[in-house]
Amino acid sequence: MVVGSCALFLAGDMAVLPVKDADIVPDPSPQNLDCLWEALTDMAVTAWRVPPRGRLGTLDVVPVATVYGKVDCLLERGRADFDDLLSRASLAPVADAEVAVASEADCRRLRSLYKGR
Amino acid sequence: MAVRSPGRVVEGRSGLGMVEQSILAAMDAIRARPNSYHKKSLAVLAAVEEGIGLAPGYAYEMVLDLARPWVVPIRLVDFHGNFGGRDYDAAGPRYTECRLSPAGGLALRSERGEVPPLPIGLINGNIYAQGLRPPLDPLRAITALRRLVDKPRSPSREIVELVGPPEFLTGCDLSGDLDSFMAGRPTALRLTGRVVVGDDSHLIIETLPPNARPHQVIETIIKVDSPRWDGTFPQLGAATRLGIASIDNHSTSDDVLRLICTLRPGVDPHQAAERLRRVPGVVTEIAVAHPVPLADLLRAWVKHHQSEDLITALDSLETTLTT
Repeated sequence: MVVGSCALFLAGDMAVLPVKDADIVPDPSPQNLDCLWEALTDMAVTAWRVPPRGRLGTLDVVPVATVYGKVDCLLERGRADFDDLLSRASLAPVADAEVAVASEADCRRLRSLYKGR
Repeated sequence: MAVRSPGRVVEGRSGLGMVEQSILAAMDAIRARPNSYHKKSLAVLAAVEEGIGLAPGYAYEMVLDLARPWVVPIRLVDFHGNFGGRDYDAAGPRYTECRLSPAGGLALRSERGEVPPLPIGLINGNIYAQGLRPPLDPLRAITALRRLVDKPRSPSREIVELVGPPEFLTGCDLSGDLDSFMAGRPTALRLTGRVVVGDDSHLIIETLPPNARPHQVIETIIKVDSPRWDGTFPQLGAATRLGIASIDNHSTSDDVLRLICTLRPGVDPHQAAERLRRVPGVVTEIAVAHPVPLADLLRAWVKHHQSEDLITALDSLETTLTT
C-alpha cells in the first residue's frame, strides 16, 4: 500500500510535488514479504544492497534505490497497522495497474509520525 | 540571532582539513615536491601514518581524490600511475607514485605562513570527503575574492554573480534551489547528465554526474528497459520503458564519455531522451550547504585575512592554475 507524498499525489494533491520517493507499507505476511523481496531485488540499482530475504520480517524501515527511484518500505508500520490502514485505503489506477493507496488522513498522520510535519 | 561560524574554511590559511594538510606535509617530508621526482605512494602513506596515525587505506583514498580531475578543481597531488577511473579502481599504492602538484606546494607554503592565505578549501569544497560544500569554479571564485579585496562593500548579489554556481567538474546540468544554496540554507542540487539526440534512432549520453559509474548506469538503463511489466500491465510497461534496443560504451577516456543508445524503431527520440534524463545515475541529487551565505563566506575570508597581501596570493594561485 502506498502512503506518504506519493499517495497524496495519487489522491490528487498537487501541492506535494515534486514527489521524491515512494513510501510503501507492505502486507506483513511471509508470502507477501517474499514477493516484495523478489520485486525489490529485481528493481534495485544494486541488488546486493537489498537486505536478505529472511530479514524483511524483522526490519523497521528499508530504503531501496530502485531503477525507477527511491522506495522506502515501512515494514514495522506494516506489521503494526497494515489491516487497519487497508480498511480505509482505496485503489488508484497507475496506467493499467491498480495500486492500494492509504487514506489522506492516514497519509498525513503517518507523515507527522515519521517527519514531524 | 544565532550566528554560525564559517569555521576553519575561513580561518585556516588554506582552508584545507587536517588530513589533506598532513598528506601534503608527508609528501614534502619525503621530498615528493613539485620539481622533484615522484615518490612511491606507499612511502607517502607511511609518512602520513607516522604523522597523524591515519591508516594507509583511508589516506590513500584521500591522496587519490586530491589528484583526480573529476573530484577537485584544484588538484593538490600530481600522480604517476593508475589513479583509477570513473569505472575502475586505482592501482595499489605500491605500484603508484605521487608528489605535490604546484598548487599543493603552494597550499603547504601557505599553511606554513611562507605565503599569504589561499582560498583552496573554499574552492575545492568538501563534498569529496562526504561534506556538504560543493566545489566552486576556481577562476570565478578568485575574481569574486579580488573584487571583495578591492571593494569590501560590494553587494552580495554582485559577488554571487561573480562566483557562479557550484562547479561539479563533469559537465552536468545543474538544477535545484540555487537561491537557497547561495543563501547558505541546506538544500539538494540535482545533477543531470547531458543526453543529446544524435539522430532519429540514437541518443548519446555525453556526461554523467561525478559520482556515477558508467557501467552501473548502463546496467540501470538495461534494467529500466526490461519487459517486466509487459505481460501483466502493458500500459505501465509502455509508460516506464525507455525504448532503447542497445547501449554501447564508446568512451575514449575518463574525460570523454560517450554512451550511445540505439532506439527501437518508432520510438520518439526526444521523449526517450527526456525519460533517460530521469534514470538514477543519469540524474542524481547532492545535499549541499554552506555554513553562512556564500557571499558572506567569501567576505569573511577576506576580512579575516585583510592584513595580508591577498591580491598577491590570489594572483599566484591563478597563475598556478592557468599554467
